[in-house]
Amino acid sequence: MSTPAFAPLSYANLPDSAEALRARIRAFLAPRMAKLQPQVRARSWMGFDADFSRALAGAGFVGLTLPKAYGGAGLDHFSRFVVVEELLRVGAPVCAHWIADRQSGPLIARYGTEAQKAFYLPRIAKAEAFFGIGMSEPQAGSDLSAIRTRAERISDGWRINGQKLWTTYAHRAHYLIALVRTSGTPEDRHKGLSQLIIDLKTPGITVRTIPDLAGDSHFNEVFFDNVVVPEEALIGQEGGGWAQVNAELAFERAGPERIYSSIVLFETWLDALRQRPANAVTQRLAGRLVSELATLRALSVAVTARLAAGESPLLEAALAKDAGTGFEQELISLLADVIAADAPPDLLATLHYLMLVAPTFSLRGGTREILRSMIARGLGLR
Amino acid sequence: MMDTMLLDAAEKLFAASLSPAVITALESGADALPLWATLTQAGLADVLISETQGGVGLTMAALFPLARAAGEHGVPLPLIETALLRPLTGTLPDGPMAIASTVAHTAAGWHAPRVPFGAVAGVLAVELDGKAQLVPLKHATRQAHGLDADITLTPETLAVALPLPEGTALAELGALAQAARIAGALSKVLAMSIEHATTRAQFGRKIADFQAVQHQLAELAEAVQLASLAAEMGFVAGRPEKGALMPALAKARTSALAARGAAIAHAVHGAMGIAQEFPLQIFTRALHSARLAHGAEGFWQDRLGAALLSSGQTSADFVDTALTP
Ligand SMILES: Cc1cc2nc3c(=O)[nH]c(=O)nc-3n(C[C@H](O)[C@H](O)[C@H](O)COP(=O)(O)OP(=O)(O)OC[C@H]3O[C@@H](n4cnc5c(N)ncnc54)[C@H](O)[C@@H]3O)c2cc1C
Repeated sequence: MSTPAFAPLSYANLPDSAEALRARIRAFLAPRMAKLQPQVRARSWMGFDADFSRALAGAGFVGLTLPKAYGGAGLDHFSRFVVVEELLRVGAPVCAHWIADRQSGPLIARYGTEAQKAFYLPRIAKAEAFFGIGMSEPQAGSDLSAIRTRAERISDGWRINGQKLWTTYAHRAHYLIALVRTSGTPEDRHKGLSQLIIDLKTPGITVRTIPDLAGDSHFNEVFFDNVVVPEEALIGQEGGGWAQVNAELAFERAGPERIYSSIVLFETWLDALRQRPANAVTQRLAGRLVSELATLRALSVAVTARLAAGESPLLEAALAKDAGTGFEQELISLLADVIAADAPPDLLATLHYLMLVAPTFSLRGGTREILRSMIARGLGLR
Repeated sequence: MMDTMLLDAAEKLFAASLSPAVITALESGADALPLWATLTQAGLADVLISETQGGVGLTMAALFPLARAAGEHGVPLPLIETALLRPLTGTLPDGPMAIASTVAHTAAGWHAPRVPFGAVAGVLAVELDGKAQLVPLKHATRQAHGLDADITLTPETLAVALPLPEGTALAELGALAQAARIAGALSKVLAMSIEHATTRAQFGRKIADFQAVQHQLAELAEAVQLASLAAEMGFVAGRPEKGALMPALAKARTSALAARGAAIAHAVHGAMGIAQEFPLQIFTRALHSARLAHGAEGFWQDRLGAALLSSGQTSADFVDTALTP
């Protein structure tokens, strides 16, 4: 028999060293989350609270995987898993430091110069520097190689012209890591792209918020009109932006982020369920959802274990993300299906909000279709 | 190390002794004992027995890869059920042991419907009047449905029954064995579907070039991954007690994924997959049969839901304490 095209990951435990963090992060969160309504906590990823982020940093929970020499906690992937999991399980407002903690910080730690690391990483770890991700543009969504925003080399730096779109919290962040074209034309596809760290206070930048369908303001259009940034804005290799962005997105797909987006709704529903006599349909549904959650969590730990072993489990991370976001979305419609006429107001408010934003779960960080095509490549189908 | 050597040897043995023809013959009533002798002589039924007692001394966790491999190769015998029961029996009983998790009293005797591998078993592990026991099947009445069978135990057959330890969790053991079988069979149908999609051509190109086919197979790969983990978690949790939750998790997840996986494999294979002479059906029928064996997903979800609701815990705490082995 030939070797199988796909060998599933085996079960892995979280090590005790990581589990040891759980009680500490829970103790930090309990008093801060108790008073927040579920419809507020359901926003979690989209919840921006700089004071919360700074307190979290003060307790040592930001910059978890950044090196100690730069103010990080120097912890492994498992420890990050536990902390992030606990934050997401209660719907903590993580957005302010979130992007810096999970994407920009690790990117700078990996590709940055000594000066860049010394400048940005301690600020990230103290939750003093918040970041945005400038990848998408009007003509470049799933197809990032179509990027048109251009940075030309000038005598002492770069001059940037163009536009980014859907940039989460660009209106509140301090810096943007933008993927821009430093040579060639959009026809050159992924060649000639580079990443620049841009201070969002630089003259020539206009940020315009785009309210979402739930009435929230988190993402933005960002316009660059002859914006001049210094030479040192370049992060990593000139022309190496494509490879860097893909490494960044791979990191984004691992971890427990892709199973908990609807967890506050699930908890709120369970609370309401316990106030009334059990019914066969709701009891079975509770069992179904918790069995899916437990299995997806185990998959997320298994992926983390591969990362911790120094591997780069691209196929498995894509599988986990696609399956996880499917669960997050399905949970919402399955619970909507069994909502009773006398459901508590907080439960209804949480459900109403999540029904609206559920589609985003399988858009952000690569759409479902893009992920499935990546999986198909991993299976040798293309 | 010991474990991987054993697994390699077992996979070689499965590959050498099984073929669609062998499996189909057993499904049609051929004598199962020669194959059973091959597997037991390699010690595969005794892997959980301690080394001092002539076994291999594997843990339940280490049994999982073997159980999964048995499903992937379509082993048409209750090898894993037998391996799970063996530490509870004295000497190796006469023939493979199937598990019935429910029986009904009828005029003709105790009746167990659709016992997985009941048609090829020599012994049935079953609980009667609250007592778990091993009933030799030589004189039982059987109506075979492929490898499964409806089994009726008459008073004479019960006279020669041997007791199993009190509290033996037969339904849970059966559920674990069938969960691993699903995990393995899903891997097999994924491999067959990839093979088919990359060789079959339509509209002048291989069907794997069509994105609709690619995306369905991506979903099948997710089912393979999730089923494997869910089943493995059940084994890692160790020997179950009656009412245990980890076998419920394993069987609830794998059963739901079995149905989806079989549907995708058939969609990708087209009419070819429906033909008896094409081996896909051996594995998709196993998926359907294993899904229903010992209760399908909804049955086990009920147990999990009741436990979650009465625990008073958050789903997070429940996952950490009750559903993590
Ligand atoms: C809440 C939210 C926050 C976001 N924050 C940021 C941010 O901070 N920074 C940032 O850069 N971006 C951000 N994005 C943008 C996000 O990355 C894009 O939405 C995503 O990459 C998809 O691009 P698009 O929306 O242009 O959709 P499109 O690429 O136009 O896709 C539309 C549809 O076509 C499908 N499609 C496209 N190409 C293919 C293909 N090859 N095969 C099959 N189907 C295909 C897609 O799967 C999708 O179903 C955010 C998005 C959301 C919803």
